[in-house]
Amino acid sequence: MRVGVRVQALVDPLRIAAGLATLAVGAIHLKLYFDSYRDIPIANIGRGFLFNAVAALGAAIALVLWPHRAAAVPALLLANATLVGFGLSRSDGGFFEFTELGWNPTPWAAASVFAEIAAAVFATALLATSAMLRSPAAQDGV
Amino acid sequence: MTDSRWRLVAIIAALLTVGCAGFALGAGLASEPRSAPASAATPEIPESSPLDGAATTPAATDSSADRDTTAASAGSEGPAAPTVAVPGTGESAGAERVEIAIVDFAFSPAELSVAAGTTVVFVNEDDAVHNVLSEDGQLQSPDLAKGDTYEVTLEQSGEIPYICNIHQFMRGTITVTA
Repeated sequence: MRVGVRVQALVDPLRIAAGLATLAVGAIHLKLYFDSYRDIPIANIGRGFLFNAVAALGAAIALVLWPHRAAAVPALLLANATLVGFGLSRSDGGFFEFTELGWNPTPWAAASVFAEIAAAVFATALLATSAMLRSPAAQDGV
Repeated sequence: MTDSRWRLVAIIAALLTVGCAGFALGAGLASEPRSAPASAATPEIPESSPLDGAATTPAATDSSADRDTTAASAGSEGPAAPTVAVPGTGESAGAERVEIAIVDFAFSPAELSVAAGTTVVFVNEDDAVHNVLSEDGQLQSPDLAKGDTYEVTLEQSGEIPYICNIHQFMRGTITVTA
């Protein structure tokens, strides 16, 4: 089987996996928003959770409906930005002075980090497979 | 964009993902609580809050007949005891037990006046973990998960400002009257 065909077979599953993981990120943030995080009064942190959910929905739709490798970029950026926000909120300075502890709220913080890493990995893999499909080896049918 | 540039994008994406994932995982692991705050030195409550200038509105607390009676312990089980709170006034009216709910990232009621000898019961109703900390050390709870309680009997008259040491914009004050 040629390299190009093998790699091509990965693109659709990766696109779907990245879309589902991105949707999961948004769903978790939406759940936390409605639970109590909408009441966090500082620096629009609460609204930031809602924005994350909306952005995740848009990125997931783009992944599924737009058959271009660039569709992976919004999901990749969203997932990594959310990971950075999570990390900053656990630091001494906090994320815009909002701090959290460890993996709280459990189990949603850990689930969200897992989904974010999955979304970023799948989006990266999608970009990589797109690059491989254009490689000389793939095009020569080796 | 040329193909070579897309390959570069893919490489940058991989490095970015590894870096961000490592940062998040490391921060999560490093910030996990190691010991109960009761065993540590009482940190100073910051004078300023991200909410400086914002008014805190005390809210009524529903009394519950299903709370534990074991004193000075968090999350403990015990026989139910009546708690008395006067909704809307923030005053205990001479009751022996008064409840403060930790809900929606706020203490409710935020301002409370109790008589000396009253047992104050903090109940965490949020999914997030909170704690209760006062600078004078009278209130020094462990981290409270959802459903956990922290009880303290206040004997000394005076004003006790306190915060959640995790989310320091959460503030409250208990005034103990003689």
